[in-house]
Formats: sequence, C-alpha cells, structure tokens
Amino acid sequence: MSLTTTVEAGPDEPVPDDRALLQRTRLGDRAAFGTLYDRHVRAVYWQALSVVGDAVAAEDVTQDVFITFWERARAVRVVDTSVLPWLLVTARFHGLNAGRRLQRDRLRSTTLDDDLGGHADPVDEAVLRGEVQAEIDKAVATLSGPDRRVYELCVDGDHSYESAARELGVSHASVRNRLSRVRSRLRADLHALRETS
Amino acid sequence: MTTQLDEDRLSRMRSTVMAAVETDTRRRGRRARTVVGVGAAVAVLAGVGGVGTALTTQGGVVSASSGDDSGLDASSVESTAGGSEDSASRLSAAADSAGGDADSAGGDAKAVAPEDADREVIVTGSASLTAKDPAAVSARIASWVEARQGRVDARTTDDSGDGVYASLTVRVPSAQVTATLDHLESYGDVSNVSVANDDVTGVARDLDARIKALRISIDRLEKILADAGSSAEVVRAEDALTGRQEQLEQLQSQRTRMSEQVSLATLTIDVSQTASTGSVDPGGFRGGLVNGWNALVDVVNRAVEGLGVALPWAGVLLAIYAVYRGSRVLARRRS
Repeated sequence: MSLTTTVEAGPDEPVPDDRALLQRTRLGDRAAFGTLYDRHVRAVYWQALSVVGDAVAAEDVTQDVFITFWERARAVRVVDTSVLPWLLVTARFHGLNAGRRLQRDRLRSTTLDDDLGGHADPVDEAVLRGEVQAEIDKAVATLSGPDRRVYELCVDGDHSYESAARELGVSHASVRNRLSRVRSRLRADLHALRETS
Repeated sequence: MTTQLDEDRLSRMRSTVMAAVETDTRRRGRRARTVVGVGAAVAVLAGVGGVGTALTTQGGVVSASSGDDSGLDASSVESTAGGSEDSASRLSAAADSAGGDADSAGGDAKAVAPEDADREVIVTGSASLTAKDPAAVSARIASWVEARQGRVDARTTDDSGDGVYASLTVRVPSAQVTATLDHLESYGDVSNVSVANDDVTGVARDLDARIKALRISIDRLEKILADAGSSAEVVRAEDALTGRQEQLEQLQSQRTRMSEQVSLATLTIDVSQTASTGSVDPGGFRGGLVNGWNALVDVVNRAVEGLGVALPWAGVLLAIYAVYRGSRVLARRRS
C-alpha cells in the first residue's frame, strides 16, 4: 500500500490504464506521470536491485529510469496495455551499465591486500536474491500475454525493446484485427443462420 | 543487499525524480520563451533603433530629453512582450513541446491537468523610477503598500553620492502586483519594469504529499508505541517517531515559507533623482542657439573620438604595409 499520494482520478472514474496515462505524460501532465511512477516503482527497484546488487546504486538506477521515461515518453511504445516491460528492460540496461561502472571503481580502489567486496554470508545472499527475483516475477505475472512476451524476448533473447515491441506490436495488432474480423464474420453468419431457420 | 524498501526511500526517490521533471519542464518552457523573447527583442530593437535615429537628427539636448520618452515606450513594449511571453510559456509548458519549438503553443489546453486553477506561483518583480524627491516618493510608496495589506521588508535612502537614491523591497499580495506597478507611474518616470513568475505547484504538492505521508506514519507509530509490548519495541518506535517528527517539522516550515512567498509577491523598487541641470527646455532664440552649439560640440567630440579609435588601427596597417614594401624592395635589390 503506497503512502505517497498522487492526484487520484475522480470518484466515479475508473483507474486509468497505462496507455492513457502515457498519453497524458507525453503532453506534460505530471500527475499522470506520478501515477505511473507509484504504480511501477517497486517492480523497477527490484529489477535494478537484482542486476546491480547494491541498494544505493539500485535507487539511483530507479531514479534514472523514471527520469528517462519522462524525457523520452514519446519514444516509448506500448505493446498491449502496460509500460512495465519498457521500464523493466530499461532498468536492466541501466543497471548493467551501473554495475559495470561499480565493478570498475571497486577494482580501481582496491589493492592486492584488500578483501574484494566484503560479501555477506553466501547462503544469506542467495536467499535474498531469491526473494528479489520472486518480487520481480510477481510483477511480471501481472502483465498480459503480449507484454510478458516482450519482456521475455528482451531479457532472455537479448532483443532491444524497440525491435521486440515493433515485431510484437505489428503481429499483436494484426492478430487483433484478424480476431475482430473473424468475430464480425461469425456474427454475420450466425445472424444469417437465425434468419433462415 | 537487503530487501528493505520502506516508504522513506520511496518518497526520497520520488522527490528526486519529480525535481528533475520540474527542471525539465521549466527548461522546455524556457526554450519556448527564449524563442518568443528573441523575436520580441528583435522587434523592440528595430523599433527603438528607428525611433532613436529619427530623434537624434534633431540634435543637441532636445534629443536627450525625448530619449527618455522613447525609453519609456520601449520598456512598456518590452513589458507587454514579457507578459505575452509568460502566457505563451504557460501554454507551451502545459502542451509539452519535445523539440521546444514555440509553435506547439497552439497545443491542447484541454490536456492540462484539471487543477490548473490553483497553481502556486512565486512572483518577483522590480521597477526603477526617477522622481524629483526620491525620499518622499519612497515614503509614499511604503504607506501605500501598507494600506493595501502589503508590507515593507526593507527601505533605504542614500544621500551621500550625487543626487538622492532610495530603494525599497515591498511585499504585496500576488494578485495586486500589476496594480502596484501601474500605480508607481503616478510617482515619477518609470523606466524599467520586470516581473518573473516561478511556478512551484509541483514542489508544493510534493511537500504536501510528503507531509501527509509523514503524518500518517507518525500516527501509526504512536499507535505502535501505545500497543508496544517489550521495552526494545518501545525504544525502536520512539526513535523512529522522533525522527519522523523532526522531518515533519522541517517539511512544514519549508511549506509555510513557500506558501508565504506565494501569497505575497516580492517587488524591488528603486527611485533615483531626476537630473535637474539645464536639460529643461530653454525656449526661443537663446534656446535654439544653445541647442545648436551643444550639437556642434557633440559632433566635434564624436569626430575626435572616432579619430582616436581609428589611429591605432591606422598605425598597425601602416606598419604592415611598410614591412610589405620593405620586403619587395629588398627582393628587387637582391635580384
């Protein structure tokens, strides 16, 4: 339950979906952006944490992701209904860069005698990593089929978000069109059948 | 690596992100404003240039006194240009132009968030005027402002240099800024007006949200404290509670300061003394003679000045030419 408030939708309006909020964000509506932020910040943070491993760096990555989201809102392509895939993929990308930078800095600042990293108990860490991954999986499970597919394509298949979204967007849209065409044809046939009987 | 993700960190991240978003929005608005502003400035410069050249052909002191008038016209054109800049920037900030181009100001005003009516804006302004008796004018301005539910934050009068100089910092209700600036015209010649609007609604809302969250959190903690079982729990809850209360007080004082600045605009007014030496119109033949003589002196001065400016350049060019000729002569003698 989030304690930070956003400007809520009116009392009888349904909670707006990501697509509508993204459209408003593109036009400069900061309240819509705030709603999207509150909706997805946790998932982005877990994703960043799982990639980077350090809580402070994960916070920085989360902030970066959302600021990038605001600045490049026009370029964000939504496949089905959610912006979460874009956010998670971007978080992963930023996280990997940040992780690489952290490694470089850590290597540069340690001497041969220093203990590299100072890790906690490995079993402990594995348990924590499992918990973080569970949180991420929970968030991904709430996505619809096409959205989840985009995310998987990017994370497992190493596609870029743009190419994956374009492919799936095109195929998703064509499937939707075909479905609706089939549906309307069925309706027409059913209607004709009823009339003749 | 911990899995702790408490509200503190979430709200901290949120304010960082929102602050960056604010800066970005303002930058986009500024870009649109500079485009419009540059266009307006070019128009104003062209106008002032035209007026100035027309006036200086009249020559002498007469042009000096009417130059003040053209200055006033230019400044009023500038302030109206400034006003239209502000409304254009508000539209374009609302309609978000990704390229920052001013023609997106035609964008959808309907798409703006519904609570446009009560935006919190910090208004700051400044004005310069000249009057015969700056000290008296400053006193009159102060009493006028105080009569209108404003207040005077600072007031100084300086008689040490040549002429009297007075300056005031006044706070007036934001709705009356324009009325105040217009009223200043009744005290003397206003030569410079500028007003800036700083929209801090986002920051203010953010503060309000954080204050509300902290209050809820403090209530919860107080409840936990009441139901606490062991002394260790009590100590931990106490700690968290005092921390939160400190934060809350800090945020509340920040918010009060901001609200105070929003409700009362800050205006800096400075009053200088009109030069009373010999620029008042000398009429008739004597006047004409004086004007003509002054114009002649002026032209001679400018010619001498121009000569002085040109002299070093001429010297340099002469030196280069001499070297060139010298090298040609040497070359011819050698061959």
